[in-house]
Amino acid sequence: MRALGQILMWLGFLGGSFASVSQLEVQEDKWSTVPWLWYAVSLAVGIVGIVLLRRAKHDDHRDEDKTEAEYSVITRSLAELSTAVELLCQHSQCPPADALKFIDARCAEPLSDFADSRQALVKRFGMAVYADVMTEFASAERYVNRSWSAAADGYMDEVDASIRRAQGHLANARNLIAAAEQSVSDAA
Amino acid sequence: MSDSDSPQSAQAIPSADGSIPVRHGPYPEFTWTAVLVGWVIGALIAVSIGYAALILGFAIEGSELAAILGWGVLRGVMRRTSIVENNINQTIASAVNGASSGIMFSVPALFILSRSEGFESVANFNTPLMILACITGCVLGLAFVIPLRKQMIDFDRLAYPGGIAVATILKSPGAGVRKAVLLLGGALISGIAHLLVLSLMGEDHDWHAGSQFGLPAMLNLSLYLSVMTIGVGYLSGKGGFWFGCGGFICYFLLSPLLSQFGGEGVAAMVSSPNEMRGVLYKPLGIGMLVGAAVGGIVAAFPLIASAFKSMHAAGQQKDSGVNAYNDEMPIRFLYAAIGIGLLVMVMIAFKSVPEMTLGRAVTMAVLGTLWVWVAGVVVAECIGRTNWSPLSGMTLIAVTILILVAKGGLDSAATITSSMVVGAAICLAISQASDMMLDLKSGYLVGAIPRRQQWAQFIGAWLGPVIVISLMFLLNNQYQIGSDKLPAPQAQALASVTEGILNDNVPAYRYTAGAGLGLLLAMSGLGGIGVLIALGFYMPFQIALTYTIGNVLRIVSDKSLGTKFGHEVGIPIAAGLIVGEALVGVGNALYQVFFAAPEAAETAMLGCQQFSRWM
Repeated sequence: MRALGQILMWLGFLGGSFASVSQLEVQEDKWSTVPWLWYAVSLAVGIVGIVLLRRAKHDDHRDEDKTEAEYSVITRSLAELSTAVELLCQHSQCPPADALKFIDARCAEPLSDFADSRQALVKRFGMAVYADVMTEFASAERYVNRSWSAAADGYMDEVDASIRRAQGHLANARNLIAAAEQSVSDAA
Repeated sequence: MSDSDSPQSAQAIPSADGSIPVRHGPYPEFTWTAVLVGWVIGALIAVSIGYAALILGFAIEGSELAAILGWGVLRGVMRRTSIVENNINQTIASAVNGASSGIMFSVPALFILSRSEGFESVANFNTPLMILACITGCVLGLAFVIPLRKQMIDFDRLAYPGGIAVATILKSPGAGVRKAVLLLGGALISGIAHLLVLSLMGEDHDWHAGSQFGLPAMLNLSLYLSVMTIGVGYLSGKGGFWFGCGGFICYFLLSPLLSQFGGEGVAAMVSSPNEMRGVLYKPLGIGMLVGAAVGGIVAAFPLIASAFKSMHAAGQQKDSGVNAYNDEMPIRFLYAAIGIGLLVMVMIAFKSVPEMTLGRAVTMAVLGTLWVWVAGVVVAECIGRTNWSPLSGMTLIAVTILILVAKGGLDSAATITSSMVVGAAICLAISQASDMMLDLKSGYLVGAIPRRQQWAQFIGAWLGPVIVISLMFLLNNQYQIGSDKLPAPQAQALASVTEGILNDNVPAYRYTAGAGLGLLLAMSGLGGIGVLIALGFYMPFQIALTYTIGNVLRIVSDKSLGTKFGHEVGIPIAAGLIVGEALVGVGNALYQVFFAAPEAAETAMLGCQQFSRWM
């Protein structure tokens, strides 16, 4: 179904594009330059393809194994990040170069992994939960970045304040995911 | 196993080599120093780039230059030690400079048109009103785009390659010697390559590989010789791949099909790819961009609604005194800015020419304001995904809409004046919207507070129109914009298109067809594909091809060397590639103005003298 959807969508798009550019401007009646019937048929074919694609995507969301694998990256990276941030909170008055190196070594990868797997949140919980979790995650990432900048400049009070803000946002993200999990299991 | 169970978590933070002096007290960010230096650097860049654009015909991206100058002045000269303070400085400087790209081809078009028979009065537009229009446009553009920050940066995580390059420069003091060397190495390679291209090929940077290999001309197989473009493609990664596909669809699929089955005129035109692009693909691409952006807004509505909800929630939390929600600009302020901006736009349209009726002014202002939103989204998304902005295409549609509204009851000269005054505001709005998003991305990467950056953008945006419009008047009075000394090619193009619109010479049918196709792709659920393919139709294929090389390099490097290599090595080099070519581009523009064309240098010096007297 997915392949058929792709074929129809692209055929529709290409047909519509071809119709749109198949003639130079007809001076007497400019709007007749594009053969609209052909164009409309092409768009209709494309829309059928999109309907098939969306159905395939819907089925894909129900592919438990695949979603579960992606989702496990989310939970693992969030846990790693939370642990790293907590550790940095405990040692927030360490030398700036140490904090800098620690953030590079322990935070960069889980941040990237979480971001790369973020679509798993949409598949599992829907757009609204995704938006709420990403709001918190992005704020946490921004504050981790801020603590990196502050450490690079030697402002350790700011490193401390920023990493605590990041910690709070990560806790919120974890709570949102836990609440969403609870709703899913209640619904099941 | 979660990391909390691992032995690593129990150990103390390892000690790093090298020491950074510990500083106490608040971390400098939004300071008077940043504001003042930002204004000065922004004004310098705006005047230099603006003036060069009047002669050379193209504007140069100023963000990287602002970051480097800010780095030099704040860190090197003033011994300031804050990455986020330099980020604010860069935000202000690029906001001031944003006016030059917006105004450079809208306001001078009026001067050029005034030399055509019947249009003599169009140069007598109300100057303070024009400045007010441009400033209002800046405010509207920013107020519309700021609420989209969450959707584009936090949720969709658009790449904004220019923002990454700026952030890499800003972060260089703490990034370590290795990354700094990679950044500088990239900049050096790109700078030398660009110098070679400039000296060997002049302003034509295309290598027509297809013709050398005997391929048909319709395939348009040319490469834009720009290492920076490869760097941009690398930073965009696989997310930008569809941009190149748009070009392939045009020249590898549609053109061969059209050569066999197209109409008579089209079949004859396929062997002239530039003409094909100008007459067929570009108008279709403009329509597709609009359709894809509108479809994208509809598709992302839950995310946009969530972003607004969280901004409202932030406002309520702030009212209750919770400090944790102070990062976002108050949504009520943005609503007020849009409301007041709309009213001011009505007033501006009404006052633009004596013949204007209130009803027509309201229609122009409302449609113009709505277009600011749509075009702001289009441009911000295009910049985010590819680093290219279809600013001229979006301005063209704005001017078309405005002329169609105005010409019903006004004579031709009044139609042009009123449309260009409101159109200049829209152009500035779109320019500021894309600059704001790019700066917010670099701010995100260095950990800046968005609200502070957004205020900084407002603080910088008003200054650009004042400086650049004053410069336009001075130069026009002295030398006539459009003359051999100041050819202003972009403005000449807009002036001729404006005359075409006035004569109903607008391919609205192709825009409409393109909008439907863009909408179709936006509904596909493949994020951003519509905008990217549309941009592939709109932009020259040679740029898309070179950009695709960068995409492919990123995909290959991520697969074979891992994403860590990309972050540690690839991104600093790619950022350097952008910086090097941008700097050589600015240097070359100034060289062309001051040394290669002595009369232009004389023009510049006299202009500067007049400007300082006027100040």
